[in-house]
Amino acid sequence: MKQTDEFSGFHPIVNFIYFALIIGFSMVFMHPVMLFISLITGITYHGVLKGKKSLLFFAKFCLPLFFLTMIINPAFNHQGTIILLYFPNGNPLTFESMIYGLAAATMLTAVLLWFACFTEVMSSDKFIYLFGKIIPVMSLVLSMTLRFIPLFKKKIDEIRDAQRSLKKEAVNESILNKLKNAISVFSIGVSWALEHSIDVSDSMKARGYGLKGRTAFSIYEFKRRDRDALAIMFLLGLLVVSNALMGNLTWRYFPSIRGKYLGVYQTLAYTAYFVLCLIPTIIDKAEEHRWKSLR
Amino acid sequence: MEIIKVEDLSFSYPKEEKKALDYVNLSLREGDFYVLFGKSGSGKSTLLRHLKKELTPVGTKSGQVYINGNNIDEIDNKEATSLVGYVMQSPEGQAVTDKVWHELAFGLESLGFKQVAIRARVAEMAAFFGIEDWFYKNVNELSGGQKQILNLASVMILNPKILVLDEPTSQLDPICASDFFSMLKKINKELGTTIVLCEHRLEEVLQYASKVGFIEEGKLESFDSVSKALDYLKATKSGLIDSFPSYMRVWAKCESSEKSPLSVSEGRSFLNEYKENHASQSKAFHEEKKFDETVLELKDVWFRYEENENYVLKGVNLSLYKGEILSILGGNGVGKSTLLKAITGIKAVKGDIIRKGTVSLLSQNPELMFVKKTLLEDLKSMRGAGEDNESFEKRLKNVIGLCKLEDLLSRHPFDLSGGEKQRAALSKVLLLNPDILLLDEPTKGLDAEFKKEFKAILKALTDAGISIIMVSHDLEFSASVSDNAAMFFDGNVISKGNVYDFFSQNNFYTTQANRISKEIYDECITVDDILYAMGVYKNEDKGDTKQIYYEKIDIEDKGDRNPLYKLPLWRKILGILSLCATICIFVYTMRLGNLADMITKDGITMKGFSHMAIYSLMIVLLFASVLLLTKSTEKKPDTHKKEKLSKRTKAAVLIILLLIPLTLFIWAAYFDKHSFYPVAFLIMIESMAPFFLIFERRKPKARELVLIAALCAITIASRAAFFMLPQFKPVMAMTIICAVAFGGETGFLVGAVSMLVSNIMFSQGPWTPWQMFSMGIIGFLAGVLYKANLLRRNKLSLALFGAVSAIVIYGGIMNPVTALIWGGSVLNTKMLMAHYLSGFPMDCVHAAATFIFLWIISEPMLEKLDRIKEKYGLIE
Repeated sequence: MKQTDEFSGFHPIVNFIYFALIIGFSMVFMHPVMLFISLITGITYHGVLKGKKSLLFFAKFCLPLFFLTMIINPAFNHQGTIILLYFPNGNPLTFESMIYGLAAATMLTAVLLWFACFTEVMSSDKFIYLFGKIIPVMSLVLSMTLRFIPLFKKKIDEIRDAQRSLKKEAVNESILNKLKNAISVFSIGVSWALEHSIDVSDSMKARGYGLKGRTAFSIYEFKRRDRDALAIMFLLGLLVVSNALMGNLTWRYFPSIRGKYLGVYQTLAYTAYFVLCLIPTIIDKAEEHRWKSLR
Repeated sequence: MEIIKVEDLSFSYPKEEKKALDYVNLSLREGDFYVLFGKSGSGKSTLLRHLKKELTPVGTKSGQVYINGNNIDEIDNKEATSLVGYVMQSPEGQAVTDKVWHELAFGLESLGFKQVAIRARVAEMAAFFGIEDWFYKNVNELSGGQKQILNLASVMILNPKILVLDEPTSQLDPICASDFFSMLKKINKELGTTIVLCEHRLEEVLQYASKVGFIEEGKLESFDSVSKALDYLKATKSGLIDSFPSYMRVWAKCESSEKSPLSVSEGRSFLNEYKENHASQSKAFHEEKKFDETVLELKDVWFRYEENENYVLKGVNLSLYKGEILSILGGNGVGKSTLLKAITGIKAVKGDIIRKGTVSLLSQNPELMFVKKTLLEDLKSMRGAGEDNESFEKRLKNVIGLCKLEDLLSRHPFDLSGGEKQRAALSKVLLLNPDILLLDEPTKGLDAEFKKEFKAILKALTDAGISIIMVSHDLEFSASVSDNAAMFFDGNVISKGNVYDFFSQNNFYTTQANRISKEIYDECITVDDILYAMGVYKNEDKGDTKQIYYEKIDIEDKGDRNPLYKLPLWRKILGILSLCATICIFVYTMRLGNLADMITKDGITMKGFSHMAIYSLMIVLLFASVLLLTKSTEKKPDTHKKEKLSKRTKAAVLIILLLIPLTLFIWAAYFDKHSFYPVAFLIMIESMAPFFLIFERRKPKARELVLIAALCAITIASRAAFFMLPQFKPVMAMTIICAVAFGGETGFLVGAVSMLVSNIMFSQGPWTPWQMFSMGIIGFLAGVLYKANLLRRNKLSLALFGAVSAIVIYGGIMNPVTALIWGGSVLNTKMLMAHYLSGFPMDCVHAAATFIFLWIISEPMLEKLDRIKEKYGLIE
């Protein structure tokens, strides 16, 4: 198991709660400062995880989406007071809707980036572990599915070869023939998978599946650093949420834009959110630094 | 104390008169190593399964089985699990989970061990088996031999007193098999575990055996030692001796009062003594076959799978003569199978391959060749293009006779035994009328009886002028059938030569018969050779294979095309026309994308409406073309019994119906009405939860879990089969088929899990739970509608349902959700419409793919699922 970064080595519960918090916050808060923080830190962490590939992801998926959302919003949303010009169909283009478009685009891009980080950090076995806590049977099904997929893929390749060796005219196949062949390959694959799944169920029964009181083993241990990380996340999260409940983090876009500075406590919330978003990056960099200084 | 005691056990399977076990008695003490052998189908597995409580087959049973002094029926389930460990044949088919560590822990989880205890036991086992390095690996990264060791380890972790193994090495190559056996020996000697093993490959394992036994027609004979068993077999002249090592076979066939040799060195001294006391020919007899006509020639052939990878074939030169059998031998993974694929032309290579005549390959796994429901149908599908009925019947009869398939024709190909499958697959390949036949490990996992038959078939084929290349690990078999042999090493054919020269010149890589007779009798590479050299066999009775004949009949193209594929001209023309129109419209709609034109402040514009009309036209045309271009089949009455909706399903619906309005009410009463997303998310989760929770609560059986997992996995893996058709994903079609076959709940699970897993494998996003939900609901609806008799079990109604759900349900949920996710708090109807319209072309493609897929595959697939349901008793 290759570990992508230091934060991935934390307990799955820590990983999951963290991403749930960040993605939730990113989707809920439309306050420009919060959006900006979430976007910047998202880019940073994705960079830590993926290195140079991160740039490619950003250019290929994030930027187009960003611009698309930025344009679509003012085209359909005509709320707002400052009218810049009129579309040919008579609808107004407003300053507020443009700003809102920008905000929505930022939100989207940030969420997309954080989800990309989530996919990277939450490997399948972490998922299975988490599901195992709530819905153990489903989690087993998930684990079995992941076990079968590479097996069946290999089988499908073999079947394709075997079927191809049964055909006389292998070259110059029409699309229709290709489709027909693909379907017969698929159909044999299904037969094979179903017939052979019986072995697996025998093997499960032979090893006591179905007895009462099944436990779930995991290789994950909840260590001190997990507890610490959770505590810090909880504190920072609390700061953000309490501010939100007090209405400090709302921002009005329509009919006219309005947001205000609300003093130190609000600044504290920004700082807390910023630190919260940077936790994985900080952990990773700190560890890297420690290693280098030890050497 | 007796750890296993079987008393007068008789057993017969349901619907079969013949007894699978007939008054079997067996008594084993702790620490015994019991080796069981016998022909395939003699009842070995049936006996072994009676020793494991959980796997005891269903049928009529009399007599008793005592394990550790207790009647097996009275042993507590938990105790039974850890008392007897059971390892099966297939290395791949036994692993349940995806990670090695999870696989090791699986049994202990079932027994309810705590985390700390499992950790300790797993560590201990990993050290004992020397598999610490694999701990974090995925199971599929392991090789076949490693997988089987893992299967053994994950059974041994339960600390069983008895270990039962059903042909554990039949799918492994000799070296892996040897490793496996030495592991068994270690378990037996160091842990004192009692071992009961059945095997075809006795050579390796007999040296460890403390007791042996054989089954013939359900009757068991046991012996306290190997030599006693041999004495008995010699006295009764039983054919079972054929699965024994060569020195024992030689001993059994000649008249001698000495005790049987038990090792290669004892075998040599036996032969030395025999030679001193008896007159002999001192040399093996073999006819020189003359070959002149080359049918296949490889000149400097290079091949690699990927660029930047190492070459697998490195300038291979090889030639094959008419009527020759050439064996290509060599270690594991050196590229022998690749060479065969290169010769057939499946893989494109660098270099020249000159083939005179057609080449056909019999793949290593015969099961992968069967498509149809019965063997006869399957064979009939091999009719050549334009061949008339009469000549095909003649060829068919010819092949069926050769491979002795007369009694098997009405069986399902998957129900055949290993040897029968191999013969059936061979006959299928022979119907292609090959001039050159390629065989990839044809004797893998098969018994001596089969090898004898197969040898006769191969002889008949070469007599008919067919040339054969065989790749094998089975040296004895290769030595007994081939004319020439070659060693494949490092991407090249190293030494090719006459099979006698080849084996008698090798010191390590040679047959056991050659090893025991070296420097005593000359040029002996098989038991028959030795017996001839010893003077036991005379020239005329050399070998005891029966002579059979095969006549090669050419395929004649008499222009007799299969009428089933003939469509009336008008249908063809209309079909193609509407298909073209569909494509044109699709391209056209792709190019106009200005949504702002279609939707204004006042709602949808005329242009928007005309656009929607065009889309509808496109769908109609597409369906029309599919209906026109596919052949129609005769209608079958819907005979399937339909059960009423179960209470559980009703409960699920009720919970959903109660929760959703409640959520809406709370939201409307207490929360900000602009935040649509949270409430929508909540409703989605609420509708999914009951399915998952009910599934957890009813504790589904192992078979059901495996079935769901297998269906989901094959759905996702099948993307590999449709790689050339990018948007053609069978997920929805499979979900609907599963729902019809197994009910709404299973449909829901298959849909939701498939979407979840494909998201985990590819990329996740805010859409993940929504996709799960949409697909799940489609599965659930299909199941419910089918049971309520609103959805019929034929391809048209299923295909239409699929297309409609792709647009109305899947698109209907996913498009607004995209709007919700991306639109934030300013969602309005226009935005919704815009998203719906922009998503529409994709939905159409999805619908069309689902329609086509269901149209073609739903009926055969439902038949398959029904068969599985019946065969394994999965009906709810």
